[in-house]
Amino acid sequence: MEYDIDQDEDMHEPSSFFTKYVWSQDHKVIAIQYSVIAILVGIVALVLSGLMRLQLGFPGSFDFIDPSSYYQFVTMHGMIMVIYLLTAIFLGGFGNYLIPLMVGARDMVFPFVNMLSVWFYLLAVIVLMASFFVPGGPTGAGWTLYPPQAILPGTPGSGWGIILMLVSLAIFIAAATMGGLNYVTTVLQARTRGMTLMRMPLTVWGIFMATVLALLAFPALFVSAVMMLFDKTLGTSFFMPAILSMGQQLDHEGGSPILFQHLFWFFGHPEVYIVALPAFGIVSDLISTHARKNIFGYRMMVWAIVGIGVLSFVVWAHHMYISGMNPMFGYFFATTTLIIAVPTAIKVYNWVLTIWHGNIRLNVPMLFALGFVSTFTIGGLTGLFLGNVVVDLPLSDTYFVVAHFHMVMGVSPILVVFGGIYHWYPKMSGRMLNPTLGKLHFWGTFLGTYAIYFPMHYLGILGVPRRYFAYENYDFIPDSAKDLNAMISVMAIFVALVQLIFLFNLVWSLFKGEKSGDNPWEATTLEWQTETTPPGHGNWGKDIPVCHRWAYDYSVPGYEQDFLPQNFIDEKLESKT
Amino acid sequence: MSFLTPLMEKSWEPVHNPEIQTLGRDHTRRAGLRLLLTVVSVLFFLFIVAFLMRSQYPDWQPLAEQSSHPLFNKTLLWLNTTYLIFASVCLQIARVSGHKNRLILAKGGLVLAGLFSCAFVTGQWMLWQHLHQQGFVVNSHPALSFFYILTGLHAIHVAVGIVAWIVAVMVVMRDSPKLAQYIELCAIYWHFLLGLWAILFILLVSKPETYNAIVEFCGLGI
Repeated sequence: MEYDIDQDEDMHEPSSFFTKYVWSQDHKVIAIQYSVIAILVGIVALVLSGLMRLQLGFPGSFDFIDPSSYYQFVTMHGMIMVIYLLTAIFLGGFGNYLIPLMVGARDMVFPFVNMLSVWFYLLAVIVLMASFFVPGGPTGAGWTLYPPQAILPGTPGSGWGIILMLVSLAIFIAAATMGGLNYVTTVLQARTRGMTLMRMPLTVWGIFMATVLALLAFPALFVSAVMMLFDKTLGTSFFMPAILSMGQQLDHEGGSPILFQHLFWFFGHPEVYIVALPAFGIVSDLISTHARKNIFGYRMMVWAIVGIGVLSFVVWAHHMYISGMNPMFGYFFATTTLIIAVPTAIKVYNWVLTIWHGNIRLNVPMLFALGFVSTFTIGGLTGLFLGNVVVDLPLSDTYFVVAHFHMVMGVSPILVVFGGIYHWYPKMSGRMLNPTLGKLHFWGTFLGTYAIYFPMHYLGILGVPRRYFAYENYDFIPDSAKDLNAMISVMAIFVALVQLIFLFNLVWSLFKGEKSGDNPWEATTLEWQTETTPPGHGNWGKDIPVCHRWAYDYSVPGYEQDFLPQNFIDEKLESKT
Repeated sequence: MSFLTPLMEKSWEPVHNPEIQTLGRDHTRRAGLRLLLTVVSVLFFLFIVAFLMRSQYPDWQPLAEQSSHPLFNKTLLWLNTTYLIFASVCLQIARVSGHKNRLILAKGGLVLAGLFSCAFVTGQWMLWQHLHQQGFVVNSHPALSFFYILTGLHAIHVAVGIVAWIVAVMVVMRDSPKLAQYIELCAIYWHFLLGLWAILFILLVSKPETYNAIVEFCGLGI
């Protein structure tokens, strides 16, 4: 059933500079605000990772990095990258920009709430960044914030640092919920005439399902953050057992750290798919568009997205194999973890089969999409190792895990973020990003990240433990591992510098980039069929487009052009009816 | 399994004249609200699971079993519950009257519901004060910590509803055509508040044996 809500109601045309660019309720401006904040905070996290690598590659050479600051870098890098960059840019950035345009709506259904969402997000970021400037600095508890150590003296930032982190997370969750309500309701109720659920581009499906996961999973993080905040500030014992700290018996008793782990990972695992599902969706559209071929197995792709979404709620304890639990739990969670590989593998096969015999145009977005398929496959395969309890036990606290999750949820989604930006930047700005700089950026990032993370698998198999500040005086770590660490650090700094090309390209192309026209990639989806580029307020001018076909009519036999937009009216079909 | 039907559609077949169904703005608002309440339900569900899991540890003390326990005397709790029931009933009356176009009754119901809700929040605050005076503070023992967190969050939930209620009253006074729509939204929200409060009330005053039985039945022991 298609819906056509009365979309002209509540269309407040912005009249001043402030309502147009600052307190804007337009989904496109909000999307750009989200993206800019996310990229800026992402740069902070990138610099932190560079500092970590300086210590690991060249231990002792930099006086300003001590064990405390190292743990603070690790923690803040992880939390910022996963939540404040990837989640925010996929849902707040791509979700906001693309959902209304792709489903043929004039805006999100609750524009005011949408505006509140981005300002709450900014507030969450400011609170988080403030923790760098408070006494004791930001928390150094690791991004999982496990109690009891997260709030005990001795852990860096166990005073104001952890409090600000928890408060910031709570604000972020409020922001994500306000945004999420908009995305889901818009997809369900504001689709244009003819845009059935199964005619939506896979990008919208991915973001939609990820938002559903976010709405259901973020409360778990909220619950654990509030309870830990109580333990820290009011002396309750939700998670805190009876414990001695610095020789003193603390007031806490009887709490359960494992309870926190369950709550955290009940959020934490769906979070992986909150980041991955939008990436899956976007990559499907990039591959189909730039291979000029319909996506292979569209229905299967949708079902896989839905299946992954459901399964992602029953695998969380595979992050806790070494925490101690009933062995039958391990059996259950290992099984579900391996089952989730089935829909994921279906997606990878379908991407490859879409490319097969396609008319591939190796544009920059396509390069990033292909890069994603490669890194995601590698990361996914090592996931199969770690999903098995007996293999996980020896590997769990080693660099193998670092390599695995950086491949699968660090490098892979960020490649899609880049691919998506190269793909939709022309729609946002009216100008193309420079393709030569884009290719340089791609190859530097793609090869560079492989050079960083592939060797880490070997370090992991050697048994090099993760989360350590220094590796001196361990007999089982050979010198070659130290050389490898130095090489990894050099490559990490190289990849960080390559990102400067991207940032330069973003700014330079805004003024000097080649004019793109309305539909530079000759794509079928509705966002490319707007009257103006960038689209004006209300997106569609006078008439909302009507959707007549799915998003993948590329190279259809019998037509002159090799793509049929979703709102293309087929005269042959018309004459038949 | 009708919700699966859309997923079976053959997307690749183009259509000439797609069908259309017009949905009003109120429909969207209702859907958004229901979604929000789903998220809130998940939030409280997880708190309840945490509550039940924590109740299995040896330092757990029940809240309402003996006269020395903080919630043994439930007078204030019942009084506050009554306020919330009245609020919900007033909104239901307003909802029905709105549909029948009895505007005065509808507006009166809406206004009264908000006042009862304010009474509820004030009553909860007095309950907290009362417990504090008796020395039952947030870190006395885990069940009390949960009591303060759960009632606190529920009170915030009511307070957010009161903010929405103020907006609704302002809109309704200005613009009667939207009356039924706003009362409908308030009614959904307040019935949910009442249902949630009933669950929390039962949970907080139940006996440890009840917790043990639920935990055993759901396999929540860790």
